[in-house]
Amino acid sequence: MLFRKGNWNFVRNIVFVDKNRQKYKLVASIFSPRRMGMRLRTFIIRRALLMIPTLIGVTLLIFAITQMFTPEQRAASFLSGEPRRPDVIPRIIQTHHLDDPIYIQYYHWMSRVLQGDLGFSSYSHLPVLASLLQATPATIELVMFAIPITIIMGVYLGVVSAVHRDTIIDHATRFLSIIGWSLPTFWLALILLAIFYGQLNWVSAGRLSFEQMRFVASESFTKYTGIYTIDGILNGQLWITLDALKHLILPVITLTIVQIALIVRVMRSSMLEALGKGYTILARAKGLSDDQVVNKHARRNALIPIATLSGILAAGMLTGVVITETCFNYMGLGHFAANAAMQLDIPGVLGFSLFTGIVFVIANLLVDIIYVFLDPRMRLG
Amino acid sequence: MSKIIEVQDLKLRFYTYEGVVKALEGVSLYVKNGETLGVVGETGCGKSTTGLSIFNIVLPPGKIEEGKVLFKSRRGKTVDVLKLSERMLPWVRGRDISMVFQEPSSSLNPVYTVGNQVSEVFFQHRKKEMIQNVLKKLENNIHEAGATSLRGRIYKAERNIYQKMLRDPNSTFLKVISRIPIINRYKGRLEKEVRKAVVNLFTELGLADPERVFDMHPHQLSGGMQQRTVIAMALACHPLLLMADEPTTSLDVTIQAQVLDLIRELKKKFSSSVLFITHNLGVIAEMADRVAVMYAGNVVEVADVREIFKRPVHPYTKGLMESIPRPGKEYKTIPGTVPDLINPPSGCRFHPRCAYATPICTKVNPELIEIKKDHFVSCHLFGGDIE
Amino acid sequence: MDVTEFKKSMAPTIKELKFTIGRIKRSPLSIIGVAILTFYVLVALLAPVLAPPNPRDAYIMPHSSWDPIPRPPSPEHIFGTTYQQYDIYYGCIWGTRTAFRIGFLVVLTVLAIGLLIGSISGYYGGIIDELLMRFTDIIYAFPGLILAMALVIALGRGLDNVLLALVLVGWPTYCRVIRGEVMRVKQEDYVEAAKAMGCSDFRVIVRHILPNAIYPILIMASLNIGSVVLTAAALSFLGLGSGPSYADWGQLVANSRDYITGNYGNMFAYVHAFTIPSIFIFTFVLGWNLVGDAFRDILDPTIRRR
Repeated sequence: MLFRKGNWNFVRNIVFVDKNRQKYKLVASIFSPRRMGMRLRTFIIRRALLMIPTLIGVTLLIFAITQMFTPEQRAASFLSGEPRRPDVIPRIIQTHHLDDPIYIQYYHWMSRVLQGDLGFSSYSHLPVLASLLQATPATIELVMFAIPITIIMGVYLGVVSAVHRDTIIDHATRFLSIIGWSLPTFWLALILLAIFYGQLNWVSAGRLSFEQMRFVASESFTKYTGIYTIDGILNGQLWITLDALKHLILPVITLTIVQIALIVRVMRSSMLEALGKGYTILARAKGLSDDQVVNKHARRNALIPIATLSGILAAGMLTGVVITETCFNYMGLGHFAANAAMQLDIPGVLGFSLFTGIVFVIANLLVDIIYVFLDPRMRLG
Repeated sequence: MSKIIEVQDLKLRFYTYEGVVKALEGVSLYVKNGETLGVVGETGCGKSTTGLSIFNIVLPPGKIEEGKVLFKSRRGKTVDVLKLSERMLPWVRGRDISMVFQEPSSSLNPVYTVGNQVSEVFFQHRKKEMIQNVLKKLENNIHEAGATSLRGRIYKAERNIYQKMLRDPNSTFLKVISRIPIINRYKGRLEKEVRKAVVNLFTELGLADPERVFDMHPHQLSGGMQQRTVIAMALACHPLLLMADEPTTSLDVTIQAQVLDLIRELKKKFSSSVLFITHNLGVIAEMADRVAVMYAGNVVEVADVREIFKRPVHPYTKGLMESIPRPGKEYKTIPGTVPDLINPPSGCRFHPRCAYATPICTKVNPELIEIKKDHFVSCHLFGGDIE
Repeated sequence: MDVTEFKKSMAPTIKELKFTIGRIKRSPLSIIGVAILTFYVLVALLAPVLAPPNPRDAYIMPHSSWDPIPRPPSPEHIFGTTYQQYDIYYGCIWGTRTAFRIGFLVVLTVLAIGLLIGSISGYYGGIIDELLMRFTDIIYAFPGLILAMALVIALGRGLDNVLLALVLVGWPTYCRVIRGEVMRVKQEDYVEAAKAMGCSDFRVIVRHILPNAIYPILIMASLNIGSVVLTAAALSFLGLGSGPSYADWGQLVANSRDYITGNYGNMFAYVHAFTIPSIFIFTFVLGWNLVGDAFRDILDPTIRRR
């Protein structure tokens, strides 16, 4: 009976009739350009192509910074320890063309970078790229919790602030978010650590407690992603996930408190603007309740500038991550960069900068694509 | 002829840093059942503010100080709209009284489809009717499929959900199941029903290819089509009073004519009354049955449209009529400028520009008096104030 | 004759000024901000009185011994001492001057560069504009602190290099904003009129465009002073700042970095060593942020009158 055509029609009606057919159309359109998404795909491709000159520029900038060092110093980044013979350095300078004109050096440097060789980090005693990749999952874990929480809370507070404009709620929210923005990240992190770790001993520093750390390093645990919260679920070991979450609380709170002011401020002003627009008055005139007017109409429009803001937010997060990871002893990219800087590990710091720059340019591309999804007016352009 | 809406002595003030703007100073007018009242005046005379105040939408920093707006609702009761609580106001707004604004491109929310926005009115006000249609269909489906088959049982479950929606729309049960991903597909039936109704409405309004228009965003439509959708939103519930605030000012002249024809037609079809606000005397001449002339927050003259044009009585109205450019005639204007409403002139607000001003005009603001049948003026020249 | 005419022509300016001051007075947050900043200005000016300067170089903190363990507040050292017995009180007082120096020098330099390049780029457009935009895009691709870290590593430590790095990292933002404003104002009618009257390009830019484009920049500048000081403190915390003996708040925190976790018994044993300078940083930045935020509400022409 189930295979009769009539029955499938009925199933289709129940399961697939969706008020958000627009959303499905848009996602499908990326893969089948013949439908309304033709312009969308060309937009994405065009935008991706524009990214390439910027990427080249990023490499040029880092390369320019490397040129501020003498050839001897640059040669040192190829060594994995103390030079054993006195002529090692001049030989390196010879082989890697560290003395040649700039464009030749750039060519060689770029070809090394494209092969993944960013030098050797004297801090971690590993090749730079390997250290960075080892540290990346930790930072991703931290940021993947911090950014959504910051955006969601920031949007909520911004809406509340705008709707209750000039009342005590508004002033209090803005004051508190400015306080958060003014706090030095290291101090907030250290105070939180002192209270919750030192005094109350609720959480500890690092990514996992001692026992969990041993378990994770052992044979019975496979690191699929390196992100302990996800790996814990994938391995069926929820206690690992819970422990990782426990260690994430304080760093995420630190990052959120400092960055939230940005979102609140922009959301508040764009919400105020949306509330004064014609469609808000019409929505009221249609008899919609205040709640619907604010949440459905005004907020959806006010969210559009936040998309551009998320690029800036991500930049702020990375900045905060450098200090936060150091304070909480959280072994991620920021921790690596901070310690490399403290020990004047040049390849480490420069490799980190290059890595971050490239990741950033790609992230900004994603932000632009999200922007198009949010604002239907952009889809024709 | 009964009055569908009567504004009595409406006073509205805007509290700004520069001072208190006395925007509306004792505005009184009424709209009779089935007629079109045109409200004319220069920019800034308070016509739009009056329109918005009729259903108690006051943009901050404004406040309504005094006055009543008596509205005869569908059930025959007369209510003062300004005294309605926040809970009851949505019943009036959009359903019994609705409004069309000046620029359709800024009245429509750019991120939602046009169909979505018109459906909102149906969901807000005509939900019960739609649910009953859905239930009827479901009964048919159950009958067809048989009550014991798998399909029949699913239909019966849906029918129960919809019956619950009718009985108890705010139940927590509904709130919960509407969030569960696959089960909440039941909403699709209601949405299809509403979509059908909206598409019908679009056809009545003369929109070509209404199915496609439903899924379009406002920026994809032309100005005339946008205005038609806004009118569709306003007429979706067959309101008793339709207010139109300069609906054609931002459109081309040919589209203007179409939209005005449309409003006239629909007014007859749905037997609504219309309050038409504009500064364009030509449009007034075409659309209105009666005209109210406003100046600087006061109503200065109300009369039948032919009376206003042929035999204007108030000096301001006379000046307006004379300033209509005609070939061969000398171009006349009213000397002076519109007064500052923070410090309006004492007494009659028109007296600085009035050729017939008398001493009492500087002291007392004249009342609106009926000098002939259905012809009201607010001027000291009439009504025996001057010896 | 001249005086009354001048008064009449200044009347709208005075009215606006009174409005602005009235708005400042009515917003409690801006009053707090102004109060904080006044306090710090006084401290900076009175530094020689409050903390008698070191004879050789006022910015080098005095220390009575080389003992590494920080000592808590006591009668001779009001705020206590940090690593190697540097007096925290002295460091905080003279650090106020350092903070103002960092903030003002960086922001004024960046403002000047931004005004110059931004207005040229925005006014003339064309190929110069395109190239400049690509260049600023590249610098934008890096989060600020990270690029600053790379630059300081390359240039070497020390306050001057920190300032240079901050300037190099910060100028694109100003350039972009000024360019945007110039491009917006360029299309206004009064600019057309000025050009039609035959004003030279320079005069048009300076007399007509910039005064109208300046408001968002002032707001941005006052907010930026705070974040520049924070970034400088972060760089010091990472060991990339001025040396350990320099009177700078961030440096004081960095000096106590090894003692953050206290000693074995008590987590809070050395809390004064990094908290007191941090409080100074925090309130200083808070003052600038409050003032900048209040300015944003007050000076932004679109929301000024609501």
